[in-house]
Amino acid sequence: MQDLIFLAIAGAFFALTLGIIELCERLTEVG
Amino acid sequence: MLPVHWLQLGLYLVLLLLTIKPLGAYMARVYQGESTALDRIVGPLERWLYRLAGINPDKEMDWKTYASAVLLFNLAGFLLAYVFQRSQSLPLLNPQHLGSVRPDLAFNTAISFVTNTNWQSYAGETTMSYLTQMLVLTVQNFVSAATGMAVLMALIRGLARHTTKWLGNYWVDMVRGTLYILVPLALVVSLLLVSQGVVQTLGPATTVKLVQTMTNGSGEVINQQTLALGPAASQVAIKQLGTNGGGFFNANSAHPFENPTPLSNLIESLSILLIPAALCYTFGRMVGDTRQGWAILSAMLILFVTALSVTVWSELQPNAALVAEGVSQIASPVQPGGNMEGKEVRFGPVGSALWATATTAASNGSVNAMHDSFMPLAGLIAMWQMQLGEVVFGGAGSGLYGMLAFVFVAVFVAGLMVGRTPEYLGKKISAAQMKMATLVILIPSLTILIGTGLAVALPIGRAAVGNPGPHGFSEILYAFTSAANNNGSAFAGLSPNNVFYNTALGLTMLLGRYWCMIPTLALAGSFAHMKRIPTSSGTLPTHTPLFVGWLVAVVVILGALSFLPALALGPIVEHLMLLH
Repeated sequence: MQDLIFLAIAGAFFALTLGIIELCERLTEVG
Repeated sequence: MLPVHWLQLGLYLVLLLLTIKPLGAYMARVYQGESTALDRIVGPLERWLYRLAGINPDKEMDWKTYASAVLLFNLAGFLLAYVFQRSQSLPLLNPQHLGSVRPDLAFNTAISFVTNTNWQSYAGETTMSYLTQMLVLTVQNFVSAATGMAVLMALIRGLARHTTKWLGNYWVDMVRGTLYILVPLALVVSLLLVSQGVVQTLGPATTVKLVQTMTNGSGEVINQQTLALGPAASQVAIKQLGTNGGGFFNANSAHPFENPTPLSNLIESLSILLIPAALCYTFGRMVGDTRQGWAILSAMLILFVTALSVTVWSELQPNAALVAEGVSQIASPVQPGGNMEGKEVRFGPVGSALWATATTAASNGSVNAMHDSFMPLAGLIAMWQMQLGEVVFGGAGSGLYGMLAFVFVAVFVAGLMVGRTPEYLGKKISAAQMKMATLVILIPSLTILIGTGLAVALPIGRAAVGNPGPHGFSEILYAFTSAANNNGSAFAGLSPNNVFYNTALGLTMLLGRYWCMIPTLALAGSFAHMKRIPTSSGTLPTHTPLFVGWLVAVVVILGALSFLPALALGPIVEHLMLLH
């Protein structure tokens, strides 16, 4: 169970960071 | 200071400066895909790896693809590191029959090594099997350093190219950085370290009879000792070169099997700054103006020598608390003098201060003395160098791209002050670039201060402190500072091997690494897109002593503004308490 929690935390972080790529793209207005 | 101390510091700086140009030029050739002396040996392996992974090395990436590749590769590295630790009880290269690593510790350690931090909540010799040390930790030491260097290369290409979206290929940069730079250097350093007595064996720990018997607290007589062994030299070499810092043994490079002689100490401490310093020259070569690289290197050297001077001076002072007890701390034939608490007698205060300054200037984090025992001002300098964002040389690649973020801010502010359009290397610095540069600078600072505040506010955070009062606050502040800036060293007084710290510091390391990398790559993409503006009389020269001084001022002012209040609660008040 603990394994799943920690793997989920890491997975969520990396998924969120992929979202940060989109945010940075909008902020820099680069296609 | 004794003449030998001056000689020690002078030799270190001279050797470092001598390596910058040849190594920097070589790295530029590697990343520009030019021929090198290693092509005949490494080339076939490189091509085989591309074929195996189905990579077309000629296909370049835009910044978003580059960033996604970085993230996916690092996620895979994390998963592999986590699974290996959780299943290490399998009898494979595990002569001490060490059990699986706890989930929270495996989470923390996997992140720590993937992010090039090497924060260690564990003791290597009693927690990690040889297989885990070699296949997980050492491999990540190589590829995490190569990843930092690859991101820097993308930024450099963004500045060097114009009206394009292509920044190179992450897989090629990662493979070439590993095969042509890190592996050959690590091989040479490993062999040098083995020649000095650093252990490298797959044999189990050995038991030896003590020369002098001891009695423990329960009155039992102890006449033998277990000596931990293992494949240390191969890990120590890359932990230094790749600005990783994670020790094979718990005592890191204070351990006689990890750093046995004055020569091994010189090699290891020099290895810390070798790549980050040489990358400044690589940068200059790749943007077609080596003066730009020398200017940034000069700013780093000014900050480094200043920090080194304060640390050495501080550690050569007698501890006021011991003076009050009548203890002599003056240099004599039987002692090196100064603050010797927590230090190896072999290295003394100057050798320890030099290492501490180098390891916190670079985001290395290895130690040859216990930073918790440093005088408060030396502890302050160690923390502050990290809090500047690890830009005083910094990590392999990450140090220079962090410093370039400060360069963009310095150029922008200077432009505002004189009323000209800010530009750097022919690229306009506008609001979009400032947003990204500001993120690179502010994300670690925010993470440190929020994490420290949270830990201080929670009972579980305070319970890990070894020394109550301002020193205890410093221990917590140091931990989050080290994690957010991917350094990995610790004020060893903190006991962070629990679910709270392993999770909080794990997340801190992730934020400090990737939430700075993404804006850096976005910067690279935006610069690559721009047209190059020709130099004119209105262009601010960025290779002059004036600009170097301005850059240093910007770094210092931003660092001071962010952290002076926190430092006042820790090392500054501790220093004042020691004086009175």
